Amino acid sequence: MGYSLARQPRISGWQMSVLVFFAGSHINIVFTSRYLAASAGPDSWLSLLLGYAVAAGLIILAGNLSSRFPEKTFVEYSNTLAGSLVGRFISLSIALIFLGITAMQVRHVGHFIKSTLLINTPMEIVIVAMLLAVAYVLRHGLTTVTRLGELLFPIFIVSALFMMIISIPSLQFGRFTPLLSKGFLPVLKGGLVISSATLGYALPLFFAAFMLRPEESMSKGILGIVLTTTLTGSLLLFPIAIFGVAEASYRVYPFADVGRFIGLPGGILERIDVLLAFLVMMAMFVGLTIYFALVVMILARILGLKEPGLLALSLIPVVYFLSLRPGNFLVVEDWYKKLSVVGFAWLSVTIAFFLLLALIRKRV
Amino acid sequence: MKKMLILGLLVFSLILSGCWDMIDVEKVGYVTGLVIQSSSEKNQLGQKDTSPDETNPGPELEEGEDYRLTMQIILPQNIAAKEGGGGGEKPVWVLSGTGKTIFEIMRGITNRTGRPLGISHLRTIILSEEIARKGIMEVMDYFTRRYDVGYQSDLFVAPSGLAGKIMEVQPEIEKINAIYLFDLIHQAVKVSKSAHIELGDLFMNLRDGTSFVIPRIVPGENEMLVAGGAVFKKDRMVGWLGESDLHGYHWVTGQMQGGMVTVGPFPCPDDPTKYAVLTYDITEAKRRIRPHVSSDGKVSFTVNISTEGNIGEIRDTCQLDQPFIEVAEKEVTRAIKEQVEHVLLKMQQELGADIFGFESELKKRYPGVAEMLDWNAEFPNVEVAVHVKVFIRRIGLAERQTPPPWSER
Repeated sequence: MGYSLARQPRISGWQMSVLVFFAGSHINIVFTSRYLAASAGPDSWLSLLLGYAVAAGLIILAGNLSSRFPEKTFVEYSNTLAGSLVGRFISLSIALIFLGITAMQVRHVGHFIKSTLLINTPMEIVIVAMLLAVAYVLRHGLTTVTRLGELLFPIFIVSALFMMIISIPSLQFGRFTPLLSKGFLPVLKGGLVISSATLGYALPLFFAAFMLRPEESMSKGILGIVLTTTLTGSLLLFPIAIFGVAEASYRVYPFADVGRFIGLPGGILERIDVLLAFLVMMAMFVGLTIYFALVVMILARILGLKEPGLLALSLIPVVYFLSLRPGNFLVVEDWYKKLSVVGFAWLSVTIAFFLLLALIRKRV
Repeated sequence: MKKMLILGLLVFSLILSGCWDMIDVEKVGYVTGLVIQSSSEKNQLGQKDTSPDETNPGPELEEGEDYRLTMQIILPQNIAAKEGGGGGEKPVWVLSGTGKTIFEIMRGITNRTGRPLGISHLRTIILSEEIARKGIMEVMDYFTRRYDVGYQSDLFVAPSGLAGKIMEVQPEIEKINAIYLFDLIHQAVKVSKSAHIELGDLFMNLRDGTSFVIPRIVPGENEMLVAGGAVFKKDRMVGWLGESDLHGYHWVTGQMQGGMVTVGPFPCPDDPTKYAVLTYDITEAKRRIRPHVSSDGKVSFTVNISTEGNIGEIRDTCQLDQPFIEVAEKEVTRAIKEQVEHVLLKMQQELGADIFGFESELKKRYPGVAEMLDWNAEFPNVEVAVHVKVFIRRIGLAERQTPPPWSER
């Protein structure tokens, strides 16, 4: 069996781009429009560009850092750079933040499915089923995760393009005016929303060592961000262009509601919302698998496990209980937002700190 | 390993053998139409209302603050029987209830239906004038939270005292009157006789705080009339618009989908002793609103309307030539301008509701000015210049109407 989140898997450049894309899309597709509209209002598109530009900048830094230690994983070179104790602490803290984010994502997925599709199904069943599926994919290694992403990417593209095309008559670009009417601060706030939701920039940091050509981690990572900006970015702006800032910032899942709003001529395909739910579920599942893989991989390295399959299985109850810990949806949102911002800040600082250390050591 | 596999299969067969969300469509009461009234309005059905939950009544609301909900539930078995030529049973079941919230009433009614209610096929929502004048933001909350509400449901407002009768009307052409209403509004919109608003658009208008129009529905004996509309300012109804006002409204908002303008009698250019009456058949209409801000900060608007159409009908025997077309175009231009100016005046002086979207145009172009203005105070006095261009493109399939030999004219 290919239990290999360890060294054996080899990721192609394109697979890296797809992974970065899904890691930046996942569950965020359904509700980030709300945060974006609430923070940046009509300037949401500027926030989006800013947020993804920051993510691309971090990919460049992360890629640069990884390229200095080819064949070494983040956990290994963090020990080299910052010493065993500090290195392990940083790696562990990142793993724990990602574990928290994964748990909140799982709860979000459960809430989304429970609220829009399976109303009478207990959320616990939805969450367990999703986690088992994720663990099954992970048990077969990182290669399976990458192939899953590669397989679902074209389906995602076709569904997303179809949805975009049928939404065109409902778009009102006037929703994005006036420009900068409240200054640049809302744009910055919206940019932070996007950057913190796009943790995909972290992937070159952790997956570069598994690439066929680790030196491509930066360029392929940027390609992934470009894909995220054009596709996911457009999908995030659609609810604002259709509903307007006020309504988009009021709805819990603005993206899913687009499906209920638009209709095809002649009433064909009445349940477009189901198509959108399918689109979202694909992104959610792949995104969740990537995040879970990151956690498992970092922890396995710290613990020195050669076969992380068992670790993946044993983390399921942890994620399950963590995901059910918040009492209600509002708490989930609050925790998820905070964890995402903390993750963004901590990873940014870590990348900058390690890069600085690497430069100093090289000089010395 | 095999044991684990078998154990896993057994566990999954227990968990996944059924589905919590399996719905047998025959066991769901599908609601196709809803009438929402104030509880003080008369129950026209002569049924006992579903009372609010008596075990947990809570503080009582003021008289008339509760809602009355009348719903039409579809009975598929009776429709099938009718289509098959048998049975004389009604294809719908009409039920009514009162309560503090729509949710409470819906759940209360399921105690009488014996089936859960499904609103995924909800086609029409009718609001009573009383409810509309009190404000509809709270009423709509139920629909914004539901997962199964289609945003394409159509909304209507019924004049005072008539809302309760709507579900009693039995139209000849369609047995389910919620569907009849759905067909009616889509036909009325094609000739611009009525406003049209769907649930999704209503949510947006309510959230944006803009003024809007909901079509008026008037029930008859075995028919219903959709004409005119109720004007809403924020979420409260402030007045009515008639059919001709709606024409003006459609011209300014760019929602003119079709319809006609009848002008005349006006003198024929070739023979001023003769007069013509002409119906202009609208095939295309466009509008553009441009806000202006003068150096002293005064706001004004220009509305440019251009339309293309055909001659639908002419009475009398004018020479059908280019001079006639030019005169007819001028007459139609004047008529459209009158329609627009009339509705503008009504909105500015009488109802004070900017249903045309002037404020949003100003916000787009002059956000700083819009921010400083109190639009409610500004709107009644704002100057609006209306420019109309009419192009008659086709004359139909006949030339000049010449008197036949037997005519003495």
